[in-house]
Amino acid sequence: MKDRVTRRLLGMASFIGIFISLYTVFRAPLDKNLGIVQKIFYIHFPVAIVPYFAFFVVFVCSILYLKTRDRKWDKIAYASAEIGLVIDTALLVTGTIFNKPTWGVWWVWEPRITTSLIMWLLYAGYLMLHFSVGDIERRPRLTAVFGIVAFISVPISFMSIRWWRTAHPLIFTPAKIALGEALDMQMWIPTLIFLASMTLFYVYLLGQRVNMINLQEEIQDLKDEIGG
Amino acid sequence: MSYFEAAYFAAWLILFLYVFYIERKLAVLGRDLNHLKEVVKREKS
Amino acid sequence: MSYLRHIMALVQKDIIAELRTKEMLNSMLIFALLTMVMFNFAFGSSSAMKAVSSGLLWIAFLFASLLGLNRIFVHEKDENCLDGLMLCPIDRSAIYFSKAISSFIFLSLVEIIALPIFTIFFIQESFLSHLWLLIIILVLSNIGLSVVGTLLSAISINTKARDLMLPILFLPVIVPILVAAVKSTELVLSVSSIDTQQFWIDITVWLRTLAIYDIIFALVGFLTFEYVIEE
Repeated sequence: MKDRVTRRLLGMASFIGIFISLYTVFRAPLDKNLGIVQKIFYIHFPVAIVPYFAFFVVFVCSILYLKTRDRKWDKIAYASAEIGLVIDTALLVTGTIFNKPTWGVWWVWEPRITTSLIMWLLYAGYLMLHFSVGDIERRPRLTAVFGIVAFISVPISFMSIRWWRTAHPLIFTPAKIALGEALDMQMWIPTLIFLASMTLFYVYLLGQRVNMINLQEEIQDLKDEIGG
Repeated sequence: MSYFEAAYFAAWLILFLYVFYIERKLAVLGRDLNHLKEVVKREKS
Repeated sequence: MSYLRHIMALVQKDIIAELRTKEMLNSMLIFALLTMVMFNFAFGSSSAMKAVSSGLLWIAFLFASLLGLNRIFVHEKDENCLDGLMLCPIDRSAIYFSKAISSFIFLSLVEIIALPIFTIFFIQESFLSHLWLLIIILVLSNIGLSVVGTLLSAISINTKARDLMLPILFLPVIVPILVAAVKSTELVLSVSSIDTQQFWIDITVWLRTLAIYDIIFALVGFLTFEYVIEE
């Protein structure tokens, strides 16, 4: 009961957070060079960061599952992978729409975009693996191992614009932030608020998704009880 | 539709469809669970 | 020392079993050659072929390796040999390394035969002076393909889809190997820029990438393999 209230509150908080973020985006100053198109950045940035975080959760929970054999970690890992994949889809879509007005083409085979797409494919493979192992005893172990292997794509994608010279802008470096060149002060506000509410949104989804898995298992148990 | 509108529309469409799917499925599962619990209770009595 | 002896005994077993049937080696080799022939039809003119030849080479090797990796656990699983192996008083990771080493050997054998044929088909220029570099590239890439492929093959053998699952899991993971191998092979094959200072800088970067990748995945496989095969 208490869990349920927490989840509802989280849901409401994340929706309110998103509305506040949209309002601050609306109020933020226009970019000198790009104009209104620059405002895509405010949604592009959080949907880029949150999948990294979600896949990191998959990685950590996979290790924890193999160490402790507690089904809880397997459920969280699966839920996090699915949510990360959905948000990563939003990232690829907003990225594609962002490319057209700024670079003139919808798609460029440039390291950041390519590695994001590979990350998407890896976690799509993770979900396929989950559905492809019928044996419930074996499934958590196999997906956990693949969850660890697939994580290699996350640091590669994150570092891609730092390792190679690419067309993708690199906005947040320690030096730029220290000098105040990363973003205009008034652009920081919507960026950070949006990032916070997107993270909240992710936590809310994670709670709901894990709850869904628990309900499904409970129903299966009851069905077995009646059948047997 | 401008690029700005298109990007926000597309991103939120994807995310809200997912939220809708989760909430809908949870409602269905909750109903099923209650139904099953009643069946189990009836069978036991 | 006995750990190494265990690995070698298992590798020997795989090689003997393979030499009796030769089905994996033959199909990998024919498949690699067929891929090259298909490329010839798909891309036509030889001038276009030259520009993308190192990519073609690696796609051919990649798909051949996929074919072989699909098979490395099939016999063990179908004949219940894996249970026998697991009952042996040896470390589980020894099974992993033995399988990785045997797939490395098979893949290398296929490449030793396929590479000269590829050269005659598509390159027709001598790069013999830098053959040793190409061998380093091949060895490093094969290690990467084998250590990743063995782990993922052990995973996919447990799924309902079996050999359908391996490409889906394997291909996105080895993208870094493909990139590094294609880029470095391109450098070796492009005679014009060879031996310049830039050439050595570039090739070291790619070889280092391959080496780091190999070490990371050998470690991941070493640590996680026992969880994959346990019953």
